[in-house]
Amino acid sequence: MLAIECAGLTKHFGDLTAVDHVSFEVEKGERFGLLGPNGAGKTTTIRMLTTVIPPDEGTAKVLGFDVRRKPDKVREKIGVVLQGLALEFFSTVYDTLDIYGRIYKMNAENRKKRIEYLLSEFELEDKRNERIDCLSGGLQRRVQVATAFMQPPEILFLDEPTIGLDPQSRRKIWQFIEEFSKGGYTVILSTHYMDEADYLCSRIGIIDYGKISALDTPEGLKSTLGGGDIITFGVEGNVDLLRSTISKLDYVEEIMAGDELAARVENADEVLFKLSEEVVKAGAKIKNISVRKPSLEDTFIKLTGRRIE
Amino acid sequence: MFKGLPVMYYRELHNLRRAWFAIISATVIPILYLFLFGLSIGGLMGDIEYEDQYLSYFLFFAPGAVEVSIIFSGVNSGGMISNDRYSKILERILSWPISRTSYFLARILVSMTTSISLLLFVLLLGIPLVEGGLYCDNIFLVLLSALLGIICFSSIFMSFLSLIPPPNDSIALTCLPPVIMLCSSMFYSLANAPSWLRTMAYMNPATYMTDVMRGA
Repeated sequence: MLAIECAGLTKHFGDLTAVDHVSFEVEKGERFGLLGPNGAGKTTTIRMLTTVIPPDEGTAKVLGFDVRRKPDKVREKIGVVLQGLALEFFSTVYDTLDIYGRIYKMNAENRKKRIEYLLSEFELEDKRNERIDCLSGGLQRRVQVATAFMQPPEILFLDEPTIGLDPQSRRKIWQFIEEFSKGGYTVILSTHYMDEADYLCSRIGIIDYGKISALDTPEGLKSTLGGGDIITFGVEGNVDLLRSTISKLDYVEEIMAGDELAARVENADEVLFKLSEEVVKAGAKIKNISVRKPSLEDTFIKLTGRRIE
Repeated sequence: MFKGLPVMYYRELHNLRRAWFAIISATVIPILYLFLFGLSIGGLMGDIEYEDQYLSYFLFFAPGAVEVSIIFSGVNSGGMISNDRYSKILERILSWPISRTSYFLARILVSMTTSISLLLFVLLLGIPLVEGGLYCDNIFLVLLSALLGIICFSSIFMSFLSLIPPPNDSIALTCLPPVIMLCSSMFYSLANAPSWLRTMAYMNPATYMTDVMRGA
């Protein structure tokens, strides 16, 4: 069964088309990611799917309910973590979670048990009676994510859930999302972190300028580059000239877009020395060399022609 | 239509518990108005002719002071919308399984709860302190007028604040109450007021709420 069905979803803000005829489907139990830079249209797409704003064109169904015609039904089934902090800053951590339990009509006993569980899982036990505005940004963010799990929703929307978090908190939230989705729940995640999308999502839609430019599994997206290795040179010299020179070499499959001098080859072990010599011959001074497998970021740069800042 | 109203009411009361200064100011301001205008300025004003009888300015102004508290309840309702918008929780609330009506109605109900408590407090305080006492023949009419006033002003301020984006919303909150209060019969009799002011006062719900209370 489909959890999400979008067809031609469009949203305009004045002259700006924030989301431009976006169409995709998400199966139940899937972890689907929207990957794109700031202003790409990820948040607007999520805001439409969570009934916060209505679409201007197109249709969107969440668990079979149209977001425009049956927003109440949609809201009963979803949990949302917004990009920005959205908390009652003068409430305590415990009271904040308690309100969310009440919103989802949990009885007192279940509410108490669930709060204790979440406080423990998100390592907030010693902060339970502290006011939200007295917590650090990372802890506030943890509380915000925890609120979405008070009543496990059928679909969880996470809009940049780990933005600005320290690595430990990020990893904690990733683990929790992973555990949550094992229960058969659907997760829709928007992020501009490549590693996050790669680690968490079973399928990724690359979105830029309001349009989805590619949609596949992380491995599928990476394989569009054709495999092999990417050799990156840190050089002093005219990078454009060097690109033009090494692009003519028969063992260079592709010159990667971006600011650095990077080339994709079939096997780095075989050609690394030869290629370095060519770079030096072309008049450049090599400062460093790195070899890696193609990443999601390479795919993103290839598809959009730019790097996520 | 009223989905989630109890929990939203609980949330508002819960938030109000923490915003203790709002409760204190909502209590102190009308009492301050009552004593400052009623006793201090009242001495300069003398008795006021009202409905073929002469009332001390204090007694004349007492319903106006209650109306001040009702208007400030409306201001608080509007202010809470601004607060929800600033803290970005409004966007989160829009995805909660509650109706939009419940969100607004919960605020009005909380304003009713606080204002009615306050009204009874002002009446209780006024009875022993005022010579001749504050009195009313029809307490139900006073309560009805107060309830209608709360619904009216909470709705006005919430609508106003929903339409005005930040940062102008806070300026609107500061500017609107004095206009409503001064262009009404809250502080003075309209019998001798200039015609333009009378016209404005007759378009102002505060005039009717105050007059109903004064008549009761």
